[in-house]
Amino acid sequence: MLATLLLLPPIAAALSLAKISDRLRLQIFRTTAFAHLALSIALWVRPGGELFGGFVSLDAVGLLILSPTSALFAGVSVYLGGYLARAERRSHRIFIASLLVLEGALSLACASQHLGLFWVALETSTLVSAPLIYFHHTGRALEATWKYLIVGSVGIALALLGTVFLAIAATNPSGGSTLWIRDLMAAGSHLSKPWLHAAFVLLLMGYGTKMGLAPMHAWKPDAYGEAPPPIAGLMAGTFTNCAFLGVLRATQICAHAGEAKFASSLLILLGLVSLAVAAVFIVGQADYRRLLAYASVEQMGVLVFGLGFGVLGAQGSLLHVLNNALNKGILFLAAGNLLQLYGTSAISGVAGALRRTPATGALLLVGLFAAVGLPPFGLFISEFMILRAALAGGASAWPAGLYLALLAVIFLGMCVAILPMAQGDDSPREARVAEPLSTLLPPLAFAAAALLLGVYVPPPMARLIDSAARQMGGG
Amino acid sequence: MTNVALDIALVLALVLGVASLGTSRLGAAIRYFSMQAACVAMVPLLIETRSGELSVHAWILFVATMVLKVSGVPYFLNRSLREASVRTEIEPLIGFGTTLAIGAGLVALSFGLARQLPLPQKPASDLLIPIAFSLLMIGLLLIVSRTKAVTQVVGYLIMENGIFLFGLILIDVFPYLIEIGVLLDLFVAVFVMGIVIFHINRAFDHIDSHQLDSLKD
Repeated sequence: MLATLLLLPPIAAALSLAKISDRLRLQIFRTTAFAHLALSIALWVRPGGELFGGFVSLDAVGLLILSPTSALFAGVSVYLGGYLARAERRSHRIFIASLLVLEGALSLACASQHLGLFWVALETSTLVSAPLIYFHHTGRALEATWKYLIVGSVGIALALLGTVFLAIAATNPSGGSTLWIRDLMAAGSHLSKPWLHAAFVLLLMGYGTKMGLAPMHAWKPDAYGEAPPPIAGLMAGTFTNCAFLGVLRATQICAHAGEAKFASSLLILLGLVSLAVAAVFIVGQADYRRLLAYASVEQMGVLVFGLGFGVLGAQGSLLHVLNNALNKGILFLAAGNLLQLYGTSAISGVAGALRRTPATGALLLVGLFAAVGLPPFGLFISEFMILRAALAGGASAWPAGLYLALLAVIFLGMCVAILPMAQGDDSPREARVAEPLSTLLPPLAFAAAALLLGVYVPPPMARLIDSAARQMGGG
Repeated sequence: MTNVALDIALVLALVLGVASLGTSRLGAAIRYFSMQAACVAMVPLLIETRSGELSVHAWILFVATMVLKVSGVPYFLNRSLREASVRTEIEPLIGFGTTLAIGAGLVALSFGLARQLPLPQKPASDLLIPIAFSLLMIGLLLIVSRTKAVTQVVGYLIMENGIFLFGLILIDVFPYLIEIGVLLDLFVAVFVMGIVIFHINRAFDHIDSHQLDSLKD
């Protein structure tokens, strides 16, 4: 089952490169994405076991990150039908193939049990995202693509260096070494401390760049601001989560080596810096797509901040991964509808969305409420869990206080920006617009799921989160 | 004897890295990188000849590096340059003399840094770690101090050569399929960057990445 899940996207990508119509290509993507979703749901019931000599196997953390990835791809595959029909005409050959390779590479990253393989998968996903960002072929998109490539490449190079350093740290007396995650965790305190520390810093910087943690976030507002919104949503909801998996693995290894303290101080610091940078740029932001990009910087900050507080915090972070993916699905897809309707991504250019397109306007509001962490949405629960974890340690209350204050600023900034877009007055009054169902149903489904996760976390999911989080505590 | 050969290859790689800091011609920078990659590709073979047997792994690594890095990458970079009218780095952010001086400082720093981080196992050559650090820093310096997209790519590639040297401390830790994956990814990265540079040329009539500045807050 796991093998099918991993092999399906690349095979479909090869198919979509053939000389066929764009309509058929989209159909291939949709079928693959839904088959992928079905398979990843099935993996919850029956774990996939080990494949390819153990290189590939889904553990609790991997499955937790794979599931929302799969769901988001399925949603976007439906959404693209309506979106592309209204976008300018150009061949979708490279576009669809890149999407499929991206899905395959991200799935492989989730299932990698070897840090070298994980790196290869993540780097592949970086490279195939470049044509996706450049889809509209404008000068600004080109600029965004270049920044994304060069910043991302340096980041991923640092992550590779961190991976090599980890291997050096794990050198045993007979001269051999390992990059298998389970061996690295088993090595525990035998890892060489200075090299482990250096490795953790590099992995955090490297995969943090891919996540878009401040101060390595420079590519993010540009890329999300210029890429087609469904693509930006996919990147914010899947790609960044998979990069977070790299940080999770590094933390897991540190915790097993008895260096949890060293890791947490860095994670908390980087989390707070990201929240602060996001707050500064969200307040007064004039472009709603860039606003959402900074909101993503914020969510990434919350993820690593939570990870800094032991098992309790890791539980919050892992739940947050799911909520973040769903939330990005709602917001970016709604933003895509607005972009096509109003033809601008300036906040001042959009007003009265609720009247002109009630469904998208409502989705925008739901996305906003979910994003700023209002109950009863899932993000409220996970952000609250992280707060509780930050206060539980009995340590200084400063981080928790700062975290709350920054979240409050972001709350205000987001509301001030988005509320007028939904309500507001768009005189001269323009007629209501009917939007295709395919661009409304996916964000609606994500909204329903986000709401559901806020009121009820299914027991199997809670168990999975629990067992994954315990790994982060070194137990 | 082989120890000497190993050290010569490493020092040559370092010299070529420094040379790329001092040149203003884009073509020369690409050539320096290519020669450096060839030196670095020889290192795994030279390390293994010390212990006698040459493994299949080392050969595969050598051939893959020669094909992908030494010939493939420069080919694509040159191709993306062919249509560009700009062939020299005219206005670097930091002057060539200054960059060279900083570069020399970074090399010295690298030797100090290597002393601070003793390896769990003695490496094949004492120069391996300091030169790996040096290439890493020279690459980063090129990326931040130059304005031409192509030079930035060369900087990234030199950085990658440094990482490759670190990887050679432990030749068996990466299964070779993954090693090839890393090399292929690098190759595709340059391919994609080459395409983007080509588009930048066509769209803006320049390949000056610092003129790409319409996106900001």
